[in-house]
Amino acid sequence: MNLDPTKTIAKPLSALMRWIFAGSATLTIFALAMIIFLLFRESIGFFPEYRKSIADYRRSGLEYVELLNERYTTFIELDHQLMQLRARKIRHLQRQSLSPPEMEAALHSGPLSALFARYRHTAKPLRDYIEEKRIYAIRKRTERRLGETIDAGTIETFLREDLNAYAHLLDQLERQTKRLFEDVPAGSIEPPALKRQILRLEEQNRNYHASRDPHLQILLAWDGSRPVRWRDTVQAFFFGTEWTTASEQQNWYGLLPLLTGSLFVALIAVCLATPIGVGSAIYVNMLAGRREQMLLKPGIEFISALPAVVVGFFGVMVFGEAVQTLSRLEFFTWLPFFEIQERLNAFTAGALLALMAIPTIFTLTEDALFAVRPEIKAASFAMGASRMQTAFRVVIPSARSGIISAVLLGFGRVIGETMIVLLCAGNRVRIPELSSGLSALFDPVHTMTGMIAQEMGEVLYGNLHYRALFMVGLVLFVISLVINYTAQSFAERHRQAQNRYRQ
Amino acid sequence: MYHAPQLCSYHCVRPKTTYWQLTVLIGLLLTVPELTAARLIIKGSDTLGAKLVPQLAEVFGSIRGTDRGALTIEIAAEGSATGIASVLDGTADIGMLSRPLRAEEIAAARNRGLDLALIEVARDALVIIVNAENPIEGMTSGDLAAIFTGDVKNWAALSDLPEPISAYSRNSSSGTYVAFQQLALGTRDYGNRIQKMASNEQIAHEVSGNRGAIGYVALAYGQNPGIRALRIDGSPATATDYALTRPLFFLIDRQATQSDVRENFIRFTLSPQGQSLVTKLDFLPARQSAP
Repeated sequence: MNLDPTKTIAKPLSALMRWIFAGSATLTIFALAMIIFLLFRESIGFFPEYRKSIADYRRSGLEYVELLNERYTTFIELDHQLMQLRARKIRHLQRQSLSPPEMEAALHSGPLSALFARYRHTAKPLRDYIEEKRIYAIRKRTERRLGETIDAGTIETFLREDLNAYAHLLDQLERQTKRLFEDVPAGSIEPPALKRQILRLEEQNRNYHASRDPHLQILLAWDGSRPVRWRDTVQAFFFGTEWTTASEQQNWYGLLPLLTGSLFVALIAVCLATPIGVGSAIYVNMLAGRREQMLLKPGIEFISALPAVVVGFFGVMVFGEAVQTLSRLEFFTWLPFFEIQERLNAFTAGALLALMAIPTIFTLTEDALFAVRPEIKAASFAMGASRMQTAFRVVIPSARSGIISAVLLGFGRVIGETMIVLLCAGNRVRIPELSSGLSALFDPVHTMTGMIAQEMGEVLYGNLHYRALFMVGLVLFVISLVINYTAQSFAERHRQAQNRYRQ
Repeated sequence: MYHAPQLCSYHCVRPKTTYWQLTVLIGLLLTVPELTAARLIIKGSDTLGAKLVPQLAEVFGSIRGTDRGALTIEIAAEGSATGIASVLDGTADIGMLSRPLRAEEIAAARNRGLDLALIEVARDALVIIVNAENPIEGMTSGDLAAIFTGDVKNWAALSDLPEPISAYSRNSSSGTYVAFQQLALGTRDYGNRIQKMASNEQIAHEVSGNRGAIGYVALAYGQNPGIRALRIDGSPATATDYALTRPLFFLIDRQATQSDVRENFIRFTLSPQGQSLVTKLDFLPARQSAP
């Protein structure tokens, strides 16, 4: 190409080149703008449609059925605790190495065996009652979906007409459960810790039944034609604790389990990747010799060449199982959360994401350290400081903003990662229970990216589920935007700090 | 003077062979067989699409031969809901379903002017599997529902094993997910402790690695190593009175313009040869009824 200005072809040719380059830049910006526009456009119909869906849920009586169901689930919580006690008792008996007939007797004809065996089953009439109401409400809901009008008044009447029978049912439940507790001879429970817990459960059972009247008041006050407020809809999305689709009853699109899952996994990844990434960068940039530098730097940067799906496959097949086998070793039994039950959990996904984040953090930290003006380092050496002292007292504090920017960009990378979390995180749509301590690290979680990937094949164009997925995508986009903006501002701060030294 | 035609040598101008024109021509010639090739796109259930339908496609292709041109059958098994969605959108010829259509889906099809038909091609039993180290042999359907709705979180509630229960399920695009919900849970929803896996194979794999695990898979996966199938209400999965059996369907839009490949493929599936392949892969044969 001849761009010699003395030739007549040069001027139009260079103008053409200029237009091509300008065009490429414009095209990129245009594509970005199109994507952002479409993201907003497809998700904008979500809240009106969700509000309509919740209104149907309320009008068809499913909300009322859910109020009944809450009574049942509170009862089941008590049974969960009771079963935990039974599990603990079994483990206690197993440690005593009894003979099989003794074990059998202790488990099935001990003082607590009737309580353990029958507590949950006393609630069967309650469960059947709720089922009957639910079938009715679902039928009304389906009729509504097919376009028929439903009369809220008729539904309310049907649901509440046998409230007396319902109250009687709850009374019977109270009588039966209290009798089960009373039939346990308190003196014969071994060990004393178990006795205390059984007594505490008995009291919780009493409290549960004492709250019967407020519950009935709520049922009486329920109004199926009360309009659904916009605030409720927005709250149901951003603070909803359930994401349920393909349900017979009602599809709930609650962001919270997905958001907390994403953040949890990303946090684990960043906590693992930051010491390794920043540490390696400090080592390679400041402390390593030539040969080590030539080996380590390309090696760490090569990790970014691994495709995410390969890493995910590795995680499913090898890594999860390896961690689980490791947790079963005698050596580790003192740790409270070992051994691990599920192979696919937040930690597995987090550890593999850390692998993906390390090259990003490493490269950017190294750049930040490299950008520190050589005059500062020279001055430090001139004053007699060692490499280590210069590194930790001069260079790193100077590159602080750049390092923070690197870590933030690593965080941004992992929060958007899809394949690894879809394959390795376990896919349980539930907010991780941080109250159970470190064992929450090994709970399966689901993430925003994983959920979009998992469900995008099943949505019909334009329906509520479709828009809900776009809303999740929008939230992800905003989070990414905020992280990137913050990272950029830190990087800018670093650049300006270094420029100040030029004088 | 008459000049005999000469072979071109260095002194005469040879017409420049335009290589790129030749390439385009060859390319076009190569695509002609592709353009005239018959194509069948099948999307949907993993229960059908993992092993059964690929094998049916292979045998069908070899029987049909190449006299009517090449045949490509594309199979994507990402869940029954993807099958329904693609038949409604027109991106698939046949949808594989492991659950019947819902009222809203039928209404959506009517709104778009489609004429859907469900053809039963096989039946499946849903096997409940536990880890091989779990001593339990069977359970009632009530207990099964209690596990998957989250009423029961620990094996101590059902047996003498003091382990927490890890319940593995398919994800919501799966027809098996919905079929299990309808057969075992009634109107209740799954609990929020279940873990959503993408395929039968993945569930079998995870159950084999977790001592407190339970899951449901298609009959063909019930004998994988490391897992054991349970009796439900006293019957094993192969018994005639087993509670968790369901029909598997092909979904088509009768109005979609078609070559006869689709009809031939469905006819082959329902033929004795196709049904023998069905039973060979541990499915139950379709109940014979007029399509």
